[in-house]
Amino acid sequence: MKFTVSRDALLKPLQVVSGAVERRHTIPILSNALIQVSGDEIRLTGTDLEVELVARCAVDKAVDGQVTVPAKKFLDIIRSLPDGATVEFSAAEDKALVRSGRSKFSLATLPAEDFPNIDDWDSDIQLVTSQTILKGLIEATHFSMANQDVRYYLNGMLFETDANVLRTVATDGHRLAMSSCAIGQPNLTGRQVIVPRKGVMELMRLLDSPDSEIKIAIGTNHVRVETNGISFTSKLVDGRFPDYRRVLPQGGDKVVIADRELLKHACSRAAILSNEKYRGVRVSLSSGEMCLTANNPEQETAEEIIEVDYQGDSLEIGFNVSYLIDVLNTVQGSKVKLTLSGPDASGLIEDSEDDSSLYVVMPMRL
Amino acid sequence: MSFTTRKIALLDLDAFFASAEVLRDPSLQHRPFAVGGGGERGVVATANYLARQFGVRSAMSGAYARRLCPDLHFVAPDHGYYRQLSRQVLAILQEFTDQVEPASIDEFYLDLTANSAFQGSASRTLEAIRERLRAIGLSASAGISCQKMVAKIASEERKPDGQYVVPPDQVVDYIAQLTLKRIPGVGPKSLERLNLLGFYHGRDVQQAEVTQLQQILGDKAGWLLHQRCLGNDPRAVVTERVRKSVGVEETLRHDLFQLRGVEQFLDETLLPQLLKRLGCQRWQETAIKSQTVKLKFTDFQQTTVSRTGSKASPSLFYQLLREAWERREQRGVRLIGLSVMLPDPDDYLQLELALE
Repeated sequence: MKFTVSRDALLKPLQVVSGAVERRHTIPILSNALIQVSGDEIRLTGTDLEVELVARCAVDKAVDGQVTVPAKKFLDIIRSLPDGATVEFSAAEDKALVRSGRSKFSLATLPAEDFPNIDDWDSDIQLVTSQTILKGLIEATHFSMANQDVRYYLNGMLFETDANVLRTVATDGHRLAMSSCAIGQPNLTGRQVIVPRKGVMELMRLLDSPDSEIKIAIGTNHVRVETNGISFTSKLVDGRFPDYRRVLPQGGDKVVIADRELLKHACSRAAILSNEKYRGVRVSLSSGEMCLTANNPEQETAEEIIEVDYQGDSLEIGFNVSYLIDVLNTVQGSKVKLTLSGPDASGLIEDSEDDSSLYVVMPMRL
Repeated sequence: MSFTTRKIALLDLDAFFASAEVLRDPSLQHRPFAVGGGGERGVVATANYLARQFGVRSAMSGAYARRLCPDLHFVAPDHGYYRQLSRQVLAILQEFTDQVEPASIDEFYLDLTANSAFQGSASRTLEAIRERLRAIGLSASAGISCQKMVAKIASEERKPDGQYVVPPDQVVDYIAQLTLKRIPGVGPKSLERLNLLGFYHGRDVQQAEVTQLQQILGDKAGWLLHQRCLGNDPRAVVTERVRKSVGVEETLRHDLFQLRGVEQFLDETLLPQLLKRLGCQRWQETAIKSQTVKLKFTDFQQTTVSRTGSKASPSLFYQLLREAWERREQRGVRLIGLSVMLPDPDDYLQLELALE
């Protein structure tokens, strides 16, 4: 097999598929990328058995065949060649040869036949939307996913179809983020699937051209997203996501409207002197005013007072300031609405003008 | 800071109690001896390397050890002296770095990430530390890696008086070839279950789905084993330790065959001892996570019964005792232990969403 391609055309698809490749391999071939030449096109595949990424690229002087090469090394070589360089690739026996100008690299290969395939599967839900919408839904919630939690079904993002709405939900048990968007496809079957954390992160990387169309297919154990000639497939987490509706707070009677930037900067400054590990800040609320205080084991203290729109009883409540900052960084509008009820009850944060995304944060005892 | 750029070492003092005794009485050096009780009810705490050649091992009954090695000499343990010596070792380690965590009386974790001595070489630092310890008459072995578990396992590779490095990029391969018995936390019961399902080496776990391991070992243990085998051990070296559990246990002077006698021992000896160790006046004011009763029977088999709860309760100990007693099958009881797990003081800070 062989082909010739410009360095610039190969770089992007190669970067995409390398995203799925684990640096730390328990099965050697998983650190390789599969290269398949057929006609005047190559198909590149990277996988960690959980996530599979496939990208295509047009090539010249092609001779059909297939081989696997170490993905990171191949990527590093292509990346470090000069812009506009031409790359000649050929493979024979157990070596692949990469030539460009006066540079020559010989890479160890493993047989393409040994490269693992994700089993065939059928999708029972298909939908079409734009990258903007999917990216918006993921970016609005991804920071609340658990990481390496024993409750493995929290180490990912819930995607829910419901009437003509697509919704994402993520929670680590301390906070929860939820975002919904109408996608104009009536009669969608209602389904809940959990995409593993790594899949979510890879998917987010792919969504870099907002106007492009995107196709989503959901099966029993897999989800596939196709856009711009790239195909992303992820296994789904086999588990039941908790019923998020049960933890959405009801009947909070203390409603605060605050300037988002003002509150965010106050939080960031107070955070500097909060306990590095627990990141607690005390929020003291009184009519028209919110006071944030933080202190650390060295007995250093921070105090921030901001004006807010609030009329009601005073309240003291503690929060992990990182959770507040995450939300304030994600919400887009200029004003945020906080709905609270008591020092032991969860708080609800949302854009004061837009209720498509909701954030629930449990307090800390201080 | 990325976890793979850390430099973590475990230093293990070789046959510590035995070396400590040789320091006090050099004549012991050339004869097989064990620290522990040599009497009818004694147990070997440590044996020197000469005795180990006869098969004498820690936790073996004194009588059995004597059968393996008839010339075995017994030295009564002196824990006060060992603790004082261990503190001396800690002080030496702290001359090299303040990031030292005493993991037990004879094991110390060191975080050498920020260490700049010896051009930042962890291996050469450990060589120097071991040289210093040798000068006071103690030999030690060390394992060096980027995380605690691998450092600990690696410390066994060149024992006694040696050290072994597992570089970050070889951690996964190193774990792959380990038998699961060597992974901390895999006890005989878990090992049996894992072997039965075809898991023998680290690589078998590396290639398995976490859900399968959770089915075999339970949610927490299965997840933890999977993480550890994949090379994920983010545990930091903790220089100030909070007590995690408090326990008391005693070997009885005579085996007991009546529940009444065991209950009496609990009432008169162990409960007052435990209360004293907890450092409080009344049981009700002690916040805990769980309580455990342990019984060791005349055939050296032991059993434990635990229950989670938020306040310590002496009556629960009696209930747990009766449940453990049910398992005795005609055997007598030779040892009774009581313990409570203490809550992590920080557990209470962040409240949880009611997800389930």
